[in-house]
Amino acid sequence: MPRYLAQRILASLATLFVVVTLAFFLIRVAPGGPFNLERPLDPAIMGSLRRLYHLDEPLWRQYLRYLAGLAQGDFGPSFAWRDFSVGELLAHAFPISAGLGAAALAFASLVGVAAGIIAALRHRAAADQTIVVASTLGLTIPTFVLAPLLQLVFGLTLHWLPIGGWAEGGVARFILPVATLAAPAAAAIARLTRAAMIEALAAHPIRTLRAYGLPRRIILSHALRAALAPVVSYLGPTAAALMTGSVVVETIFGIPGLGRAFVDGALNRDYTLVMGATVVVASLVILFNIIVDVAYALLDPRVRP
Amino acid sequence: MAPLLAVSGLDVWFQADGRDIAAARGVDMTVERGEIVGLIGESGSGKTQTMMAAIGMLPENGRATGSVRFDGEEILGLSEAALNRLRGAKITMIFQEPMSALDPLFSVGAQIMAPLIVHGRLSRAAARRRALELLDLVGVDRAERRFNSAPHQLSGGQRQRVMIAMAVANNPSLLIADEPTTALDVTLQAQILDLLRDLQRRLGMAIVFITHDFAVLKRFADRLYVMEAGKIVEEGRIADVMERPRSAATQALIEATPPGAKAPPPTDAPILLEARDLSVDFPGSGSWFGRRLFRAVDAVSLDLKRGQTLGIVGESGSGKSTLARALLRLSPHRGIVRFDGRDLGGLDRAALRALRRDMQLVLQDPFGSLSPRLTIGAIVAEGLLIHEPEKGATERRREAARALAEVGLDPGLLDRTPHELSGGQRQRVALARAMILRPRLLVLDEPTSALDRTAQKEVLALLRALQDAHDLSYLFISHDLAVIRAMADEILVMKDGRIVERGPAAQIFSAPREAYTKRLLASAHILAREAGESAARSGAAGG
Repeated sequence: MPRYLAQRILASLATLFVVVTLAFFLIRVAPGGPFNLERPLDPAIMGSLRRLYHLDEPLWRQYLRYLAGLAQGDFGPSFAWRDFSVGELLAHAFPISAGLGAAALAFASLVGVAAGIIAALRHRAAADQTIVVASTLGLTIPTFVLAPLLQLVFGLTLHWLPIGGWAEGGVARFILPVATLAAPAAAAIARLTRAAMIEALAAHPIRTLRAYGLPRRIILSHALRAALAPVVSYLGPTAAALMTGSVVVETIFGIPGLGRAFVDGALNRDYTLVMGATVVVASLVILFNIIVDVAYALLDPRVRP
Repeated sequence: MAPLLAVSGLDVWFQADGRDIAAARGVDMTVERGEIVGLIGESGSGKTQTMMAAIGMLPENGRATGSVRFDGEEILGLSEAALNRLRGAKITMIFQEPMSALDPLFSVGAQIMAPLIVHGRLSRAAARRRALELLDLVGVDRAERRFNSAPHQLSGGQRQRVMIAMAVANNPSLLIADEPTTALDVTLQAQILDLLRDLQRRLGMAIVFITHDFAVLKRFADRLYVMEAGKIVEEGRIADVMERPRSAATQALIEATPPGAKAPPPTDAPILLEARDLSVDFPGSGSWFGRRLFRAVDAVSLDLKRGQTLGIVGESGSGKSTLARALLRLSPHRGIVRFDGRDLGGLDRAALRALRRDMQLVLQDPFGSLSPRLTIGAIVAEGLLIHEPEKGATERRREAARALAEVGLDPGLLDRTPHELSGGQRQRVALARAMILRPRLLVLDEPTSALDRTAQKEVLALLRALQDAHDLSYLFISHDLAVIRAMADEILVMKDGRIVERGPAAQIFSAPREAYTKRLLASAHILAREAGESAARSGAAGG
C-alpha cells in the first residue's frame, strides 16, 4: 500500500503540472486582458502596468516565471485586486468554501446513507416510496430554485434564519447555504445507497448469513459494506466539488468564497487568480480521488493493489 | 425415537405476477440421525426450494404449508428468532458456488468465526483458535496464513473447504449440501466428497445431499429421493433405484449427460425478438448475365419470448449463423426484425447502439473472439467503456470482477491474458463480457462446440443458471442436438437457409417428422452415449 500511495502521489504531480500548463495558456487565449477596461487606459500607464506584471515578456518566459513561483508556493499578485497576492485571496476564500462544503458533505452523507438504508430495508413500502420521491426532487430541483425557496420560507416568512450575508449572524448564517449545497448530494447518496443495499441484501453472501442464523446486526454490516462502494466512489468528486465552492450558492447567499473568486477572476481576466483557483480545485479533485481509491481498497480486498 | 428430520405433506408456493406457482407439492421425506440422504432432480424440480422451505429460508414471495419436524419438534412456521437458534448451530448448509456464498469483502477467518461467536458463545480469541482448528480439519493447508485471506485469494476447492469448515463449526446434526461439487472439476469433486463423508463419520451428522448427478450420489449416499416437477417420484436405497428405476424421470437422470430439458417460460411471457420473412443474400459466383445471388437465409420467421431458449439446429452451412447475424442487424438482410417491439430496421446508428447492450453475441471459438493482447479484466470491462462511459477504471474493474465471479471464474484472473486460460475458462470470459452489460438476449453461436464434454457440461449448467437468474432469452445455435435438448424450449431445424421443421423441443425429439431431423437425431444419440460413458469413467476415477 505505501508503495502504491507513493506512485499515486507522483502521478498526481504530473497531472497537476498538465492542468497548470493547460490553464496557463488557455486563459491567455481568451480575448482581452486584465487591464482592458471599457475606457482604454493611457498607453503609457498600460505599458508600465504590463511591465510591472511581466506581461510584456514572451509567453514562455512568463510561463517559466509562474512555474518557478508556484514551486515555492507563490501564486503571484492578483491583477484585479491590487495590493493583494493571490495567495492572500485564496487563504481568505478557500476556508469559507471548504468549511461550508465539508459541513454539507457530512450532512449529505449522514442523511443520504441513512435514508438509503431505511428505503432498502423497507423496500416497496411507504417509507421507501417517500424516500424515492424526496430524493428525486432533491436531484431535479436546481440550486437556483431551491435557494430562493428556502430564503422565502425560512427567512422572509418564518424569520428563523438570515437570508444571506457573511459578516455576522453566528451559526445561523451557515444553515441555508449548507442545506442548499447538501440537498442534491444527499439525494444522490440516498439513491445510490438504496439501490446498492437492495442488491446486496438479495445476494448470495447474505443468504449464507441467514442460513447460519446470524443476527440482523451482522447481516446489515455485511450488506452495508457491499453497498458503500458505489457511494464512496460518488463521494470523491462530490467532496471536491462541494469544498471548492458553488458560484450559484455563494452568489445567492452573498458568501465571499472560492466559487465566486474563481468566476470573478475569469471575468476580470485576473490570470493569476484563475490559475491559483485552478490549482486549488485540481489539487482537491486529485486528493479526493486518491482518498476514494484507498477507501475502496480498504472496503474491498479484491481491488487491493 | 423420532427421525432427525421428518417432512410431510410439504407444499411450497411462489407468488409471481399475482399468481401462485407451486415449487413443491406434498413432499414426504425422512432423514435419520447420521444418515446420508440424496435428493436428486433436474434443475427447477424444486429440490433446493424444498430444503430452503424446510429451514425457513424461502424468499419473501414464497410460502410453505405442511409439516417439518426437526428432532421431533415442528419447525415450519417458527419465528425468525427461533429458527436462528437452529440455523448455523444444529442445521447448517453449504452451497453450490463457494465464491458467491462467501462474502468477498470479509476474510475467510472472520466468516468462520461468526457462527462460533453467535451460536457457540465463544470469545473472539477462542473462536479464532477454533476456526484455525477447523481450517486444519477440512484440509486447508497453512491455516494460519489463509485465515486472513479474502475468498478470491483461495482456489475453488479451498473456498468450498472453508464453507464446510463454517458448516461443521458448531457440530451440527444436519448438514444440507446444495450441489456442493457441481462447480468443481472432477478431481476436486472427489476430494470434497471424501472430506464430507469423513466429517460425517467423525461428527455423526446427517447429510441431505442435493444434486442432479447420479454419479456423485452413487458413491456417497445411503438412500435417495428423486424429485420431478415439485413431487417426490421415487425413493429407496441407491443401488436398488439405480438398478431398477421405476420412473421415467429417474431413468433420464441416470442416463442424462448433459442434464435433460429445461423448464419452459410462462406461456404469457412477452415476445422479445421476432422476425418476419427474413432473407439474406450473398453475392455468389459471377456468370455471363451478371452476379448471381446466393440465398443463405430464405424467408425465416420466428418468435423468441422472454426467458425462452430457441434452439436452431442444422448442419454446417445451413444458414444458422447468418440468420443470427441478420437478427442482430450485423449483416444486410431483407424482412422485418423487431426487438422488444421496436423495428430494428427503422433505427439509426445511435439508437441501435443503445439497443446493442441488450443483445449480446457469444461465439464458438472463445480464443478467436478474445483479443490476445488485452488482459481478461480489460476484455470483460470493454463494453462498459461504450455503454457506461461515466464509470471510472476502479468501478469497471470491480464490475469485471463481479462478472467473472458470476460465471464461476476466479476474479484473480483479471490481470491474466486469454492464452493462460483453458477453453472452458475462455468461454466463461466471453460470457462474462456479455453479462457485464446485463443483456436481455444472448445469441449463442455454437458456444460449447470447441469444448470437451466436461467443460461443455459446465458451461451449459452456467448458461442455465444465468438464464434463471436474469430471465434471459437465448437464441442457441448448435449442430449438436444433445446440447440443444439440454437447453432449448423450442427448436427450429434449418436446412439450406430454410426452416424445415419447428416445434417444442420434446416433440422434435420424440416425434421428428422430417428425414433430415431424424438424421440429425441419430448422430446426437451417438454423442449422448459417448457422454454417458465418459461420465461413468470420471465417476470411477474419482472413487
